[in-house]
Amino acid sequence: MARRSLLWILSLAALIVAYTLVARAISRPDVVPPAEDIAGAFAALLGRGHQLPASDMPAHHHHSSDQVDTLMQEGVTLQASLAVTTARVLFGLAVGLPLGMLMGLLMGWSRRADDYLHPIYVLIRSVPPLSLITYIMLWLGHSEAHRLIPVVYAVAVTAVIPTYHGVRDVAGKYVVAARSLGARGRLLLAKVVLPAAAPAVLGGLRYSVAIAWMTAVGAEMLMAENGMGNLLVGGGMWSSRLQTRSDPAVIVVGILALAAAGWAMDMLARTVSARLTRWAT
Amino acid sequence: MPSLRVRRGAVALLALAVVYVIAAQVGRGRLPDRIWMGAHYVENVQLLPTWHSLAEEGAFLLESGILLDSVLVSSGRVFIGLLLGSWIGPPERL
Repeated sequence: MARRSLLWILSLAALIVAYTLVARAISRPDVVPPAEDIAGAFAALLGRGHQLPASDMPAHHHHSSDQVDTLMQEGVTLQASLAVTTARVLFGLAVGLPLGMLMGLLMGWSRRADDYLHPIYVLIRSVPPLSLITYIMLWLGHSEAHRLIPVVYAVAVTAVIPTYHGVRDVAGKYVVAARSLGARGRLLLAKVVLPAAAPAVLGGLRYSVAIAWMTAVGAEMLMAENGMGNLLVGGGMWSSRLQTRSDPAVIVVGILALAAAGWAMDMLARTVSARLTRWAT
Repeated sequence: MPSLRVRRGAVALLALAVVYVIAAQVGRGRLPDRIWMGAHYVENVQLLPTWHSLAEEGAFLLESGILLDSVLVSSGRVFIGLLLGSWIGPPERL
């Protein structure tokens, strides 16, 4: 375990060194920001205030501090943006997972329900979550709903398939053995099918987490005044008819923060899954 | 004679279409047609377009080539994404 942690740290350090060398070799801070700019933007976005030197920027490149200052004036910080997006992701998981699992359970358990619901599910899952935003806005106005409903929808649609296959693929011998011992209906479902399907169902949790993050950030990039998507678009790239300003350091900080948050939530999902299905290993 | 599974699927899709037709007819005149977006509003909005409106809009999008062009562009991007993604390949262990 200690060796694995050491390898993690070494590979991360190697990545940072390699990035620094490549950034220096390319020498295009407007595209590949130097590691010190990224560190500076990170500190500034945490609300610890700083100004980046603008000396070595090309004339057409408006320095990142303009962008960071604008964000600071608007009260945007990395931790607040991350907290908002995390809240949207958690809401999507809290509402979407039970819905998707219920549908998957119904389709996996009952052949009749599967026959009726499967074509409708195939139609629904083909609709990209972000394409719903404008229609939701027409119905519910410019509110939190058009950021949350796509996440709920994406999570629910993703959770259906692992649950469906988990329940359907429960080894026949379990069901036959339980039936021969007199288990029927709810008892069979609760004591045999659901526990046997749990590893597959919980495996789907990790995919749902990843999809929830993708959808939440995508929705925020399109239509939000806060969250990581807004930080990436508003802080990293700004354009009008007259000029375009960009701050690649803010974009990289945002991407790294999303990667770290996604990784942390994936670890949590893995730990929960492993704990709940310890008997299966 | 289609299989039971196909017939049930067709029944479900038909039921969905019927429910939509009823909802669109019931909603006609009852649902708001002026939608406020902050300080601005959009007028003549059909929140649940009738089949007639959908057919009309669909015909326009088809005749103008907008629908076909959009489908081709998106399909091309999906195809390239699949191709590059499968070439790079998923990691052995996530």
